[in-house]
Amino acid sequence: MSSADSIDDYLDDLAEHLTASPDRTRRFLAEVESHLRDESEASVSKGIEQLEAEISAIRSFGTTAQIAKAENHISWKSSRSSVIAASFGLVLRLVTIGMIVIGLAGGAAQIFANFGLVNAIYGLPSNVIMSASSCAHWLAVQPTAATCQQAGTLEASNDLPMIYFATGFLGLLLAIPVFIVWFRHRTTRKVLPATLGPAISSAMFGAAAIGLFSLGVTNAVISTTWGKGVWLIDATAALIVCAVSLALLLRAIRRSYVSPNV
Amino acid sequence: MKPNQTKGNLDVLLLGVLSAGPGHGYEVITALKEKSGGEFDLPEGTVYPSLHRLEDEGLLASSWSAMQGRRRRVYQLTTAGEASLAAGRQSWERFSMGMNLILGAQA
Repeated sequence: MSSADSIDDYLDDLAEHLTASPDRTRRFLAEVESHLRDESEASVSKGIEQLEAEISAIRSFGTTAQIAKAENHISWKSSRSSVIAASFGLVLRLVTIGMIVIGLAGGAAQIFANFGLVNAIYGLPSNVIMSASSCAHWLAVQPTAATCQQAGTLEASNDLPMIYFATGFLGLLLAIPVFIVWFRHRTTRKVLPATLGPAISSAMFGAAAIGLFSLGVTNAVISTTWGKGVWLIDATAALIVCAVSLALLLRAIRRSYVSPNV
Repeated sequence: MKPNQTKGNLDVLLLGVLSAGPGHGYEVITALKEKSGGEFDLPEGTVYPSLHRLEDEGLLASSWSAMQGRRRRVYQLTTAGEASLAAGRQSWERFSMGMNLILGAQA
């Protein structure tokens, strides 16, 4: 059975309008309740009926929309810098994870290539028409190749792993400071919604997986990057990160709906 | 006084009220109304966000206190708040002197 009065209804409505942090919201609601009860008690002591006194106190206080707008504005100004810092940290973590995943995908591609699948992984598509100068250049740098296409394939098998490993190595270097800062500032993690990081990550890596899979299926050549196997391994790596991110997202959503008292 | 005029000077008014001693929100609002003879009558709820902003700016400090069986947030001036109030007073004196010179001369 509910024993809520007009002031409780007002506080519930105000709480729905507030966007401040939980501690700030709790404090504000406590202050508002204290004020409204003081005001209505003062009116009751002057002979006004309880309900009328509560309504009068609420009317003098202002509408919930008006009060919440003012408090939300102040709250945003006070937390703006920490929100910006947390957003920057989130972007850095996603970039770091992306770079490490690229390195791992490069490692996986190299493992397949070492098992004699160089053409399947790095093979230059046969429909690529290359200029005479490019052909001459590749044959010069790949003297063991018999054809231009073979030279292109060998060139990719030399260059792409280096680029992938360098990216992964830079990602690992970046991960050290980025994750140390993240672990040390655990309290500021709550500045952003817990679902935001996994949501962005799953969308970003999901889109990357679809794009890379399309490149693999069409055996695309982009600038100096080619290789059906490379695209498909990259797509698989992105898909794995997307799946992990989705699992984290579902966990965060589930946690947000579970009462701590349950 | 029009609400906009009150809002424009609310910070220095709140600091002025609290210069008499620490107080919680309801006391501050009541003092604001009583000391102004009812002139400063604005939506009471808008005073709390202003108190929070002054605290964020370091001009006020606050702490919980239990009074008459109810938890209340009690605000008090900080050293920076006292300096800001002194600057606000000087500014208001110059402004009101200018207003008086013009309006008084026309009267």
